[in-house]
Amino acid sequence: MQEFLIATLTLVTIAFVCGSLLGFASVKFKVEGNPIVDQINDILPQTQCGQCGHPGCKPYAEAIAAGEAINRCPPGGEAGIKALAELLDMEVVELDESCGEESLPRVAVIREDECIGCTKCIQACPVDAIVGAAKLMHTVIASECTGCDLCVPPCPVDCIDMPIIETTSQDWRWPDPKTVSDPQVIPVKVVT
Amino acid sequence: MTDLPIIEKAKGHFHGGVHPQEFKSISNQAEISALPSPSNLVIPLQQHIGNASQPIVNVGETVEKGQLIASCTSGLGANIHAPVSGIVKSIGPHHTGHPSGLPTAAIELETNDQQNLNSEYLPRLNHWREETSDNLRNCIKNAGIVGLGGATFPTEAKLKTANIKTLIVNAMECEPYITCDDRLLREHPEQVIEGSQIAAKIVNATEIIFAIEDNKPEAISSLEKAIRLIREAQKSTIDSSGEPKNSSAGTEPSLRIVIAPTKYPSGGEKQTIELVTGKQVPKDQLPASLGLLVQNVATLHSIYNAVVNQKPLTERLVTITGDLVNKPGNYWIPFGTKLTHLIETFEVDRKKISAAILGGPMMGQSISNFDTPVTKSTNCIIFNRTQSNEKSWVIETKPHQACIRCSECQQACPVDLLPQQLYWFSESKQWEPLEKQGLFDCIECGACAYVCPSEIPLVHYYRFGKSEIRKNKANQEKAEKAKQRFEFREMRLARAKEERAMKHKKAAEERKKAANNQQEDPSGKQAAINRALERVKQKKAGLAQSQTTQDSGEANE
Amino acid sequence: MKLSSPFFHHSLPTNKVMLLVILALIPGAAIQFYFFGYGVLINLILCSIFAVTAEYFVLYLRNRAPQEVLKDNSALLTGILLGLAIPTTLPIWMTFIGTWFAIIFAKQLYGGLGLNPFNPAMVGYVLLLISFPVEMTAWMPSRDLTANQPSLVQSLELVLFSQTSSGLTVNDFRTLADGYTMATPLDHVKTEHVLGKMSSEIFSKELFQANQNGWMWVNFGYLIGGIYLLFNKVIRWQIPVSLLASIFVTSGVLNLFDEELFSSSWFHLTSGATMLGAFFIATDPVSAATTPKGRLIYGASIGFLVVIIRTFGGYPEAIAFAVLLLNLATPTIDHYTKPTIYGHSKDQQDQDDDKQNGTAANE
Repeated sequence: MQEFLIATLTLVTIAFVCGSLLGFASVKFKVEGNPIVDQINDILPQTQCGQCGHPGCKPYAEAIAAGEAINRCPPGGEAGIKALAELLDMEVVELDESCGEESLPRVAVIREDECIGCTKCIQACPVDAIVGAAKLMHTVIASECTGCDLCVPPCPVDCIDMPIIETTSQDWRWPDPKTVSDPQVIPVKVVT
Repeated sequence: MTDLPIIEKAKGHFHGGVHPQEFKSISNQAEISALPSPSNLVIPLQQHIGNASQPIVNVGETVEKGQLIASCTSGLGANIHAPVSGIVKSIGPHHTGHPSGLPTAAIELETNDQQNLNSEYLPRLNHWREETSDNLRNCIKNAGIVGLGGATFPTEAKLKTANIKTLIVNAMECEPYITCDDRLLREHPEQVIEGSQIAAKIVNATEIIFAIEDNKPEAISSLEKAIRLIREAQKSTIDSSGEPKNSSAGTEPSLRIVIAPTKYPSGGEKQTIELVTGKQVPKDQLPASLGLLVQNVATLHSIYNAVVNQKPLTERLVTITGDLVNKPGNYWIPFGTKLTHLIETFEVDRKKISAAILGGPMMGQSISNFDTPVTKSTNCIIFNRTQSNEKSWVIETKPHQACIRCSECQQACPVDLLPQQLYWFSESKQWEPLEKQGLFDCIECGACAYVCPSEIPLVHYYRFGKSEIRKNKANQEKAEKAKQRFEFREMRLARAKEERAMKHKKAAEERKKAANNQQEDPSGKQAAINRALERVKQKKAGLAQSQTTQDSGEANE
Repeated sequence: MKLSSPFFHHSLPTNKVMLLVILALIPGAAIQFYFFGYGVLINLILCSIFAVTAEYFVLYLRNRAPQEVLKDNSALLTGILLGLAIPTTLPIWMTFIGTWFAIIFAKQLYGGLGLNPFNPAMVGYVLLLISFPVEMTAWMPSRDLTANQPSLVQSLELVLFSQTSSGLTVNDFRTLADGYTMATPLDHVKTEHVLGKMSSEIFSKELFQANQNGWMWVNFGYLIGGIYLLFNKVIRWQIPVSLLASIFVTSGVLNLFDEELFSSSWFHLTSGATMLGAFFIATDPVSAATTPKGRLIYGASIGFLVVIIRTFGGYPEAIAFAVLLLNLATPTIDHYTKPTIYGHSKDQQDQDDDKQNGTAANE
């Protein structure tokens, strides 16, 4: 009986000491990190397009943190899903087609002579990238536009285009060497 | 001072490096000469690091040779002058030899008959020894001079750095085929020296060191002769004027030549510095932190032309070489001259060539669109047969073999990186570790790819990695901005909603209050209104009555 | 046309590197053939065929254009190295298992050439050694000892059927005229030491000396080949030099400590696969350390382990174990021996590394 007590007491003591050490360490050496919602939000592309069914990226981040699927963000695309899967330690899944397709970055352009100045697009823009006043022509601040498409449906005269942003020599990127190791596919335009 | 030896051996050495076959004798035999002007030129608006220049001429305008046609308006940039007299044919996108093959903005000129350099486009100066540093620097800025070694950094900005003790003249010219600096030093050493003295005066440097590889003995001896003459001249003035040696030595920077063993890439700025001083430029710092300024031979020659001859930078010495070139050599070629013009002039067989190399074979660029013009960065153009001869001229792209981690690339890397690791991370697109391996310390010299037994296009992998990382950073910044704007909008909407709600609440409260008031205080405002309303009612009723009686009376009549 | 510079290229292509290594093996292999008979030749041919077919098979399954990839000669080299490492009369099915395991599991399953963390030939060798310890240590005595070397036909029969048509087994050939079964010198010394015999006693035996003589010449052959590789810059000096120096020093110190219990440096350097290991196996670039300093540490550690395992371990030969153990340590060695990048200060770079590790650990 005494041995049993000694053993129990020893184990309890060890458990207590180790427990308090761990407890102390978890307080003292606490890893300061973003709350998970912020970390998810940092991965999302911030187009605020709402294709995921949420009114913006932050709400979707909150939804993911609450357990929603990570494949509902077309602008983030495959890379975004991969990053989210890595962060949340989940399986990489294919993009949910019902939300839309991944496309190249776009920018909204208002055909200004057709604009009637209804301000509907201004109200729809999630990042305040359209300027203008009632009955006056509106225009898009291209550098602030996220290409979310949200201004297109409200326009009563359909004067907003969403062209793909064209690569210029300034933002041209070197192609993946693996894709050009085949001599046929070198993307150098030969115009003669 | 005059007793110091003119020629010294390099003190330092740099890690790695390779010894590619030189091919320099193809082009360094003939004397420098000029070419007849082409009839059509395309002058890109961006020939330098920094912002693109803004055109200040209009289509159809006649410009004279040397006239300013595009100027740098803000920030880092450089002026561009008309290389020939002629008419502005168009201003717009044109193929200018960007690696992407995408067109960039350029001015197209059609040559006319009057060709004479009008020096009035640069302000006249006193003799440079009597001028202030600021005026000299302005002159260099106006002349549109940029680093002609290939980096094309605006020289005026580089000359602004303070606390410079030593000006190193980079005459290494370590790339195979290129000989323009070599020829320039052989034929005009005194002009290059004068250019270097002007630069030294601007930054108050006390010594000028010519750093040169030992494979250019003729250039070294002509430089040595020129320096000896200058030293003798200084000595004689000192002797004749009888002044103490020190005062004169204090005003004139000393001149020396440092000879480095031939090894690629000794001409890289950081490698040159390590060779000459034995020191490394600390990470993220400029050579100025060691009191050093490095300038290329051709740049100094253009400074000489601008300050002494009031000539803006409109042409440069270009090595035209390769086994398809008739009369290879070094030529003064106006900027904007198209490769097609050179192909005609040098009788290059177009059937045998699918691309030319602009710059050297190690760091240059392959151009298959021959409409590409010569720019400020073009120091060499190679027209070689496209098929590979032996092992030294591999130009086709083919699937490479697997990396066997032999680390030959590591042995060759002049910045002591681990190229095999860079390749590993770039190939597998692991951008974060790639950056931590020191990707942005890579100078893209190509020594690693040169020695790779598996013929992996390593530099391409680094460039791919660099541009992807830059893109990701830009995207992140954009997303961050969008996030902030979105959050601000949410806040604004929330605030507006709240304000509206407040307003409604206030109004509702007031109404309520008024209703209450009415109950409590019948003699109040509301009561008065009610009484007034009543009065109106009564009056209306009375009016209606009298009217009906009137009506009936009328009917009775 | 290449898109990116450099447009110049000059080096020995990878497939030629492999070919040169194979060429450099010839002197050692020839001497081995001279001393140990036709079995060497049979092994080389069998292993080469097995290795190449295994590679072809997997590449075919992986849809990787086998003809193109096989041109890099790396599978052939793996086969040849394994063929030289196994005893001359090993049954064919064991050779087959070892080679296929080496190519498929140690190389192709990791992604093929350049991606395998372990030396494939040594993985195959160790698999065989652990699975079939008796057969894998059944080396023929060297030619000077026995007039009874198996002929070409007998060797083939031994390999194919484990006995000759006249009913002789491997052990019959290994048994000398006086009924003594000869083991390799390393094996012999180990056994005798375990039995409590003194070095002076073991080494003085004529039979032993004659046998050791054969192994010494084999090692000499590989040394010649290794020096040829060094001069052609196919391999760099760091690994072989540090490895041999480390063997020399470690065994020398032990030998000084007690001459009778520990064999001399000379014995260690000229026995077993020392030279083959130093110049051909440890230098396999794929699985070895890649930084210059790292290679010194890598080689020296292998040398140290070789002597320790040979002296205190359960197996007589230790090159394979030592190489595989250090293959495990390679990423760590490489991480801590990174050269200082131009313009970086050593301390700063280390700090950055630590930070990187810290964040990695936190994640």
